[in-house]
Amino acid sequence: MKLKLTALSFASIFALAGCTNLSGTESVPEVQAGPPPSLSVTEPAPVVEAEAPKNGLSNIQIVEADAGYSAWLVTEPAIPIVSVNMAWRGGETSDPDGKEGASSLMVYMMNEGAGDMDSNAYATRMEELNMSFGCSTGNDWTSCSMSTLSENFEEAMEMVRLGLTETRFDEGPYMRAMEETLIGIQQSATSAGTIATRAMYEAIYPDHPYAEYATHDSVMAVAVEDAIAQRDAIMTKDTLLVTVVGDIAPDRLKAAMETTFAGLPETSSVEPLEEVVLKDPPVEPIVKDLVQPQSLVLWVGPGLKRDDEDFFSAYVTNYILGGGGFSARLMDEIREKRGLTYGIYTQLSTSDHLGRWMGSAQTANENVGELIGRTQAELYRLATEGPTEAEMADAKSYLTGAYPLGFDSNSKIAGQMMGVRQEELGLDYFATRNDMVNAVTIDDVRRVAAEFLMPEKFTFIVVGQPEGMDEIESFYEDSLNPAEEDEVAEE
Amino acid sequence: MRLIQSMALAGAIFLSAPLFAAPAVADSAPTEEWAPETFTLDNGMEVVVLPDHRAPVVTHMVWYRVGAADELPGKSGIAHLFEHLMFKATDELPAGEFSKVVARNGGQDNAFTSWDYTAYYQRVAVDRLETMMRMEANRMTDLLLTDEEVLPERDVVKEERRQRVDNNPGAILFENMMAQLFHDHPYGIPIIGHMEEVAALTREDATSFYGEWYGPENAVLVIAGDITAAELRPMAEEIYGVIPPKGDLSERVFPDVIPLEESLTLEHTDPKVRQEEYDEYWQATSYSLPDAGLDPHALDVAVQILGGGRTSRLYQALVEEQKIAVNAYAWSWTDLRLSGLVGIGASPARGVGLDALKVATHDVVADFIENGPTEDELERAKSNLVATAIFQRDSQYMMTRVYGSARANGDTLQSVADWPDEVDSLTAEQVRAAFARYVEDQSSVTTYLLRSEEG
Repeated sequence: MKLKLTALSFASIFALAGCTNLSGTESVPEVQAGPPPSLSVTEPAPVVEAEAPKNGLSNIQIVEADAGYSAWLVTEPAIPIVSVNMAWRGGETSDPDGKEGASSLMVYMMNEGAGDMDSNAYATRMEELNMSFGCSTGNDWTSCSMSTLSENFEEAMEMVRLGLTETRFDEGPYMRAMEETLIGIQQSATSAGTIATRAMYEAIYPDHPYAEYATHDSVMAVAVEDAIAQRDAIMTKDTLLVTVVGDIAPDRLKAAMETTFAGLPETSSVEPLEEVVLKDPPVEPIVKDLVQPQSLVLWVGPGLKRDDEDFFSAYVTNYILGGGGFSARLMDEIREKRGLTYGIYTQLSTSDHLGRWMGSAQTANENVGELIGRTQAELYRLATEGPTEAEMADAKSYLTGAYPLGFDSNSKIAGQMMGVRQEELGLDYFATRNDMVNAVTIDDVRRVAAEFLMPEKFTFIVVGQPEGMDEIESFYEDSLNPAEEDEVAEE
Repeated sequence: MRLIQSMALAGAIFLSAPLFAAPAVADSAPTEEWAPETFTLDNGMEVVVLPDHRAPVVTHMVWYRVGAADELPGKSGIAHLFEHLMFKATDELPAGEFSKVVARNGGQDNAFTSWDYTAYYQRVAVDRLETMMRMEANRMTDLLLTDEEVLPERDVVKEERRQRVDNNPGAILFENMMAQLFHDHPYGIPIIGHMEEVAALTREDATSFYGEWYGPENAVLVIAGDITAAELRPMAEEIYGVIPPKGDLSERVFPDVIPLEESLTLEHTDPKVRQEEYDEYWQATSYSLPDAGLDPHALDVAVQILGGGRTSRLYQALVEEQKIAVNAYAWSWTDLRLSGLVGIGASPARGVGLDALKVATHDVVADFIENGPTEDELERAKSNLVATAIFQRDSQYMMTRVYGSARANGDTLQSVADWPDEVDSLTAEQVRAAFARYVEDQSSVTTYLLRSEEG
């Protein structure tokens, strides 16, 4: 991603939302900034009670290209715009050893000049077409997205074609890409999220490609040819997935698509990765020093992958524990009753070869011991006692009821369809997903919570200048003894 | 488009203005079934409906014409703390139940506070809208606050402040800059409040803030989604229309925004800084100021041309040609109610000092002030701003933000509708002159974000 210094720093100042979002997919703040295993659960597609969204997913059309790849299309004429998402299996984990950062430099270059247009000419042309186009890469996938006015669709797709297949990789923008990447690496040295993420790699899966990240030396070692090789290895016809939503008919899409992707290589040469084997967690929390008044606390334990048969049981469990905003136990205990944090969340983080159960919160340095102790107590409580029937009902009514909120815009629908395609959940997923949520029983949640949530399964990582680390145990005991709770709340 | 994306990132519409929605390009939008509808309830509460029938979902948002700028001296942060407290107990709901009921209905809720306004919203399936309206109407007048709820929430806000500001060198510097640029005006006081003043806020402060400002005649209801004004009206009358007006609503009185007398420079050095940054800010204008004319439009176009992305003057000159910066940008903040702001900035390439960067930036700005934009630049910038009005229709949330902030600030719906045509009408000279008016020979605040030696 390019530097967006201004937008990001303004964000932190002005969006004074009172309470953080209730969405179950609300992600872990900060930690996402780190270099990825994709932290967000591709928990696709929230729908209103068994009813398919009005003009969304009941009418997906599959537009097949002659070469075998296809697009899922929802034609939506209400607004004269089109959103196109593209994804290819494989990402930065396929960077050659010692050249970590190659794929990331490659995606930077995809809109930095193509054909007879240099970087400035290409960007100027995009503005003339009122289009945006850019690419990104993660552990398992490399993605691009384009949006434009529908009247400019063919011309915008021609720009995509040029970007993908006649990329110039000119020296000027390439050096700029390197410089920005090196600055990003420098900045990450004082980013709490990045420091925490790397401490996590080191503690529980130091040797897997998911734990690799770009360094000054590895970036400097990436030649233009390496970036081009990554493009040709990853962005191929055989793994290409396309989703489109907007004011566009299938025949028009098919015609543009056949041309746009015609020049891609036929077959991907990305090697599949091994499954991650997690090491045992350390007994004591890991502390990384960073000079700031508030610490980031991150915890991570084994989780489930998206294709696990217990995935929805875990999804419901996570909502009750820490995924459900103000309905979650952790938010209630740590924020609402004690004011220890602005936000505390947990989530199932799924990758192709790794499932993790993660959580995070930020608290003043002097409160870190208390936050960890009380969080561990909530993990223990849910693991040993399970949820209440009321919590089960609340979780299901939110998770099923909020499903349609993910389908109220073109760009969201394009994203939902892509998630379903990447996880190979099938066209009928949109119709059956809520049934799968509703099928989760209280015994399922008890079983999954008991298996995954015992506090000793988690690695706790603190970045900041924490105090009270020797009081974790006493706060843990205090939390498990409800008699003292009122007294604490009044302090 | 770029703007929409950065907005979405920022989660804030405050960044700059060009997020107005309106029927834009003439050859699109054949029948404007999405055109805004509006009516006013007997108690003075305004209603704006933004129809969008693509999905059976609505975004229900209630705006109050009160914000951090209305705080009493020494009570900074009360508007925002109070916004948090609106999620506590009422005569009908125990503390914490509000968001839980929303969630049980498959909804999501949140709220936000600015200097000029405060807004609360839920996103929910349209068949649950009535429940949301009843709860929102209930907490407009029947909130019941106790110390047991206020005090932990005050701690939450202190953590929020640490997370947003105190942990972030750039945010600390920006806060200091605002204090200088707007000195005695409330815009110089941070919305989230000064830590020591937040720590001293009480339940009584919250109760009296509520009593003074919250009531139907100070509120605007904005609903985007699968509903029409005809469908909404009976519900709105029954649920919101029966709330008696306060009758004694305070007039909002603010000191004038005093121009900055002389330019000054603020430095902030922090061991966490790894990439230095030069920024400079001028007071400017706003869409909500009665005498602004087309200046805000012209400023938005000017900063787009000067620093709105890779093709912009500053980026091309400093990053691409001179290679003394790794980023360079300009932006405007034209949707505050009582003033505005223009900012330019750049981040240096290795070995380049911030003073040199400032000089080079000023050369680019001086050339723009003297010669204005080219016709190509002007057309592209205008066309892209106008297109944002179409793209933002994809998001109910953006639409409610755009129309809600306009009405909260006293702008007419017509002014929102006219925005694309007005932007399109601008000449190169208007764009040049507006930018010159606020920047040429005007006092500014310069900020240098610096890394410490050992860093």
